Amino acid sequence: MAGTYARVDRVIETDLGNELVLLDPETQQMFSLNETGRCIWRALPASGEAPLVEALVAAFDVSREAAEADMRRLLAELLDAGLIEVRGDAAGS
Amino acid sequence: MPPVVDDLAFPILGRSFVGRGVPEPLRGWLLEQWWRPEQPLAARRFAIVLEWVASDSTPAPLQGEPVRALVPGRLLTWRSSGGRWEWRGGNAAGVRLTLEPERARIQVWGLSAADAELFTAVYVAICEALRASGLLPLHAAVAVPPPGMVEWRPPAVLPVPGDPAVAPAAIAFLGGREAGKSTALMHLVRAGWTPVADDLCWIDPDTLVLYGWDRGIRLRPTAIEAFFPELSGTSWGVGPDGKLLIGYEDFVRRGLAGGGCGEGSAGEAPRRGTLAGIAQLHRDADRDTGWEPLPARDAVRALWEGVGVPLGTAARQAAAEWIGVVAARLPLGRLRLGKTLPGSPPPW
Repeated sequence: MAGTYARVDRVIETDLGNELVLLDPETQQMFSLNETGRCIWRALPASGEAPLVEALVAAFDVSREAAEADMRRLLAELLDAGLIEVRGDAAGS
Repeated sequence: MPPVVDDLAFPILGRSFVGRGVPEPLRGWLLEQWWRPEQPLAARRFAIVLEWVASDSTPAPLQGEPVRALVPGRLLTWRSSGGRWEWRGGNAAGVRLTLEPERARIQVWGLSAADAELFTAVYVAICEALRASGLLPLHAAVAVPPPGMVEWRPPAVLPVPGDPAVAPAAIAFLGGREAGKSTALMHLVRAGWTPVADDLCWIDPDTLVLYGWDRGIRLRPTAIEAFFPELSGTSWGVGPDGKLLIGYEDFVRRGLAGGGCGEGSAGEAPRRGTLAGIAQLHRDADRDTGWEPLPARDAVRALWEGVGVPLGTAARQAAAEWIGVVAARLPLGRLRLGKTLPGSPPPW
């Protein structure tokens, strides 16, 4: 997907150390991220998917294919939950 | 509206509060909700000034981003811009909060000073001011177990014998509306626990000291009939929600266990505790009452519901950091309210 993946501004993070809990104060919805999810969340905003895959590959001992699969699954969940959004079209992505 | 001559002036947990030109019944509401001479604290460098603004002097509407404040029973939409938040409601009512270092200014206006929604907005504004002064609200029932009942683990702060500066270790019982906080608290009191708060306390996030804000335990008549028949037959005060207020001073008069914290006249001692554990209440009518593990992420949700989401970004971040530390470090448990009576200590 083209565009910049970005956190929705109103989302609040609560850091438990081994887990990151996201709260949308508008919907009261909560979402829990493990270490992989935390890595992707911290890498936002990101122009396209490539930077997120690179972040996972750099942080964990995983193949690029596995990183892409994890990243896409998590992005879909975060988009569905309204915790991130896609803004505009990133040039060249 | 008749002119008001005298300012209101009293401390709120060491923060100075002044109300200027405030008409009734708002004036009476402010005293009832915020004046707590039983909770004296050393003066802090933070001033909250509330001013009633005449209808021909109200400020122009604030242009800014919408922010929602959810308080029990109401959702208010505010506008936010550069350290200022503004709510406008029906009856030409409004509240503007301006936060500065060591000061909060709250301007209030309306056609009527008897507007329930206006009172809610003023409540939100004062809460926000107290947050900026370094406190957090916590909607919870809070109680201190009898000495020796709980084996506290670090980082629980344990009282030093004879040191009145350290409030006893307490557990906060979290849960939404109708979760059973007050009824559970009353059961605990009968089992020897000391009540600190029935529904609301203020907490110093650095020391974890909790300051109880209620004046008793509020119970539905049906709960009294079902569980506490010894309280029936007395004309307790009735709130707008139909709940009856059992004042803490009545605990002493009636010889109920755990009537107060500290020595001396238990009913008059400041109701304070040091947060040493978190319990989330959960109803399960088919099972016996008992303790279960509480995952930290569930404690986070319960704490956000108890603390409330502040209006300001900085306050949100501060609350998030505090909740993260508390949920990660303090003992957590879920108290399942079932067929039997609560009173057993948590398995910590």
